[in-house]
Amino acid sequence: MEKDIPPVSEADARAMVRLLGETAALDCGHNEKKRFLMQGLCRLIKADSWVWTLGCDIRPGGPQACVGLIHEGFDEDRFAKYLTMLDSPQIGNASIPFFAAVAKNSGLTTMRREEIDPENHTSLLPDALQALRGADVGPLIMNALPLDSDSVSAIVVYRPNEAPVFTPRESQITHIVLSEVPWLHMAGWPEDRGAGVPQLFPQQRVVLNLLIDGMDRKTIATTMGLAENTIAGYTKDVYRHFDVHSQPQLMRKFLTGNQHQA
Amino acid sequence: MNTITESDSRAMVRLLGETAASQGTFKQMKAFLMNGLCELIQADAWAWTLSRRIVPGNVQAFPGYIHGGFSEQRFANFIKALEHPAMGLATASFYAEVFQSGDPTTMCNHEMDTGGAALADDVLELWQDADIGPVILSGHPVDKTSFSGLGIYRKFTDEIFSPRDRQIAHIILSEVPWLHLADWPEDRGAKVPTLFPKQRIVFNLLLDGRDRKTIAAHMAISENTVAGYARDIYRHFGVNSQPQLIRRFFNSEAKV
Repeated sequence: MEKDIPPVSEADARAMVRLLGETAALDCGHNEKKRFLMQGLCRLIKADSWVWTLGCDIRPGGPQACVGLIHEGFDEDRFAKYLTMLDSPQIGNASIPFFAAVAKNSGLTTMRREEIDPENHTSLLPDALQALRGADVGPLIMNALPLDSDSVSAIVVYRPNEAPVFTPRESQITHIVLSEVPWLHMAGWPEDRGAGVPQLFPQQRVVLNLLIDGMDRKTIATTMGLAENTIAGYTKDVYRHFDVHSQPQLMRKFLTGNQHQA
Repeated sequence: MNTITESDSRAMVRLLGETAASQGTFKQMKAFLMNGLCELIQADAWAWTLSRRIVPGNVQAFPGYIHGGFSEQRFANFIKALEHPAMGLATASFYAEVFQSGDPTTMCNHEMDTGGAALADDVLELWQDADIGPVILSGHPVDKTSFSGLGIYRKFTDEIFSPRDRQIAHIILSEVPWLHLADWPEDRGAKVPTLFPKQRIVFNLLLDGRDRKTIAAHMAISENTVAGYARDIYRHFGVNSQPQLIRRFFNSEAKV
């Protein structure tokens, strides 16, 4: 460890042990356990939302071709705005130092927003600022693990815009849970790790994410401010692209890839 | 009382994370977790039992152990050693504390047996036969008349447990309450929704992303029947569509 990280207290250790003990006692599948554990982690560090995404073909500076696989704390509207935010080039730029650190590190990397962007440049860029405000995203902790040369697993926790920043202790708790519980990152992927995702156009990617989220066509049209017919067209493109014939098939493809090892 | 380090915290988190990923019964998870705990604190055996309330100072008689790390012979010797009359005295302060505090209590043998009752020659010989030296006892009152008790053991000639060892055991045993549940349900199925067998099949196929026609063909029943089952299932889980159902079981909060 290069930085001086405050040691977690015994009370923090107890809280983590308790949370994981409760997770172990759940009688449910892997994704449910992951949700439960992430909810508990958010309570521990007072985050209000989190997203687990597969970043495919991350090119520093480019838009982030992400598939949001699991998220919580976002309502439909906020999540749609969040996806729009990810497609903003300025937001892509802002995360360059993080993905550079991930590439260099090759292990699990955890950084707070203040570490990724110490000068807070992002808030000086009007488009980026608008995107962040639209999605009501303020302080954040990014955590990512490279899966192979083309993809990373990223878990990001958020507080709303204007909320106090995350402390180093909170970042360290996040780092410990996510690094010592490897199945949070390693299990549950679509088998091809979203290889086809980067070839989609940005709007199609947003539709893809909302379809995976279980939203119907009408709601997608409303949240994106587009006609239902347009959405229907994008939907057809997306199905063709991934060689599926229905929304359930698409969801199945993305949400239940490699099942949890027993 | 910061006796544990960050690497201890990490090790505990890792162990519990692995336990969460091991999809066995409670009994299997308990054994997995206990074996992991023993590794963390260099213990080599553990034994667990649910017991009726005992009078501190009396000899304990515990039926029905769950244990790990013992050979058959060693376990028999262990039970024999426990029966020695002096053991009641040796553990009196521990049991008094368990029932007085009403909380999970963890103590080492050298802390509870300050009078050295277990160090008399004839007692010591029995423990030598059982190849047990240092002990951590943990007790968790279940109700007024019974408690869940656990012993963690090292070999006869091993070093005593340190405060750090005891604290790690205490944290895991007090923060993971299901370790102490009296009746470990084998199936943990209390929350599993009660569907009829055919509904369960349809349910699984719907979760698998299949459409009604395929399901009907697969099960050799009519599409109408499948539609009826699907309706029952949606109602049962409070959803309105197949995507919502899938979402509910595989992904974030149900949006209904």
